[in-house]
Amino acid sequence: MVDAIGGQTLDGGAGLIVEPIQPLCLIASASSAVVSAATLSMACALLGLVVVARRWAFVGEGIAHAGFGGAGTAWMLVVFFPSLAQVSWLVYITVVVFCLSMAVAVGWLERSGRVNSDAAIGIFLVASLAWGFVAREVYRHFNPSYPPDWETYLFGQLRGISAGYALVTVMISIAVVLVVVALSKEILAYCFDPELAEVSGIPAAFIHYLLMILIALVIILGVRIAGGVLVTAMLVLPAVTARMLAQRLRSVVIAAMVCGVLGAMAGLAVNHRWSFLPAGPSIVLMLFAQFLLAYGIGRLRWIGGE
Amino acid sequence: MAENDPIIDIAELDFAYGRQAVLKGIDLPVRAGTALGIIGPNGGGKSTLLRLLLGLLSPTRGRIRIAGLSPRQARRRGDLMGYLPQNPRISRDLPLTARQVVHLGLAGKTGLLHRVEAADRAFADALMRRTGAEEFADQPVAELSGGQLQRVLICRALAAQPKILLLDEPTTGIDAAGQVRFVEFLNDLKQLLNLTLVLVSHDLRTVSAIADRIACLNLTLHYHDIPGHVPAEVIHRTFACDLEAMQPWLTQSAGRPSTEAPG
Repeated sequence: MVDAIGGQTLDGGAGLIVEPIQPLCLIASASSAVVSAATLSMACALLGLVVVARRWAFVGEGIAHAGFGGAGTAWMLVVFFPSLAQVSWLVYITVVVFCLSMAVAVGWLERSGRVNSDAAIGIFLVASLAWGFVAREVYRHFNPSYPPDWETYLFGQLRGISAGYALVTVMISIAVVLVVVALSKEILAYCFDPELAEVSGIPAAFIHYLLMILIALVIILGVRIAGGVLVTAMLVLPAVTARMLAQRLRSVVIAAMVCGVLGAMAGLAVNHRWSFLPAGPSIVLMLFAQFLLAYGIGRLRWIGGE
Repeated sequence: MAENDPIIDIAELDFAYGRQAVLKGIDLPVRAGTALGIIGPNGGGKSTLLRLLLGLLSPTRGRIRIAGLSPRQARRRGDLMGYLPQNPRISRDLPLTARQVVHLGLAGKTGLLHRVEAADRAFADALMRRTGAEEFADQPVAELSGGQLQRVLICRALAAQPKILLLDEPTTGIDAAGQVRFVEFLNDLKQLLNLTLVLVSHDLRTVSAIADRIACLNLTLHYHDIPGHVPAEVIHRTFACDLEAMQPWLTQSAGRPSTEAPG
């Protein structure tokens, strides 16, 4: 069993004849996983500060779970149009469409204030999960097995991440960070108080939907790493931990990004050392350990200050 | 816009939430540099009128012009109107200092992808010194008291040097001594920056100490334009209650000199 962080298991099939080129592929794949996890966790941590300030953790959950409904739609399409099984990018398209539609719909509900957006997210979230599970069973009914890699959309699968996918992840993550930095004063004003931002001349609706879409983008990418069930941890945990460690905006931003990257790297290291432990949940548990540590430090400081 | 045109001009304004009429036939010009107080019972449409002025709501009928612009255009300029809401729903999870919050008031005026100008920043800092907010400028905004936060939010609203300041129930939750200080503070700012004030409150004392014209609003506009005191029958029509209930306020407010409007 050769399993680096992102390596494919090679012990299947008859005999192991590893060609000289394969270790290089493994290294490339492992570094793809490391680089994409590191850059994505930076973007997630930055947007996490927005998510925490606006109390959008559940919005993130809704968008993330829409991904499974999106994958389910692709499986249904394959059942009814078997030729689509050859289209490898079909499932990416449906996942992206579902997550972005969820983001825009939730964004609209949040802004209109007419509907209880919390309840609406809850409804869409379970409907999307249910649709995904039904689609999986329908697929199984007409095919010899479950859809390929169906667990990925729930629990993530960092293994075998391609260099192309890693490149896209890195580019989108960097773009997200650049957009947030470029519009930092508007985003801060919006997060501080959306109504005050709007009346002081900021295009609040634009910032609102932009943030929803940026969050959806990192969630879509994060689903591959941590899975739809766990991806919001990559947004929320570093931001909350950083808030406990630092007081000033600049230090909180830096602390959140450092926490995000450290957590991701620690999770990958765990997965590397004990390959039977999945990468996504390991990352989340490392982020949670950081949170507990920061909480402990905070309590000690408080007791010491008393 | 001609020199003598009102800076805020409301004409034949109706507004309804669905079938529920909230404002009917409002005509209300406000001249630059004056302070208009709007009083009326809860649900009488005071806050709705402010939201219409800010372009957050659209009139069912009629017209609002702010310095010759529609409320939305005026709002988007970022340097025409400042606003202090009744219950600001600020996020205390953002690690911002009081000074950073005040500087955020410059974002709309500055525009997307532009850096805030040093002169604007300097004005905002000077405003904080003048209003005493400098003392807690570097404290996290989440740790400020109610009065301190209000001062910060007023500095934020005025950071972009707007010509108009809209205030919604600014003295709610402030004790009597605090209210007196607030009135002095606001009158000082009005003179200093030659502001036009529109102040909404159900507290006649505060309104009469700041405003030089008072409008009584309860679905329709009952009265406006005469400075000094408010006649008893107008109060009765506006609040739909006996004059005795309002008497303590009226006797106190009637004797107070109204603020002089500069220029």
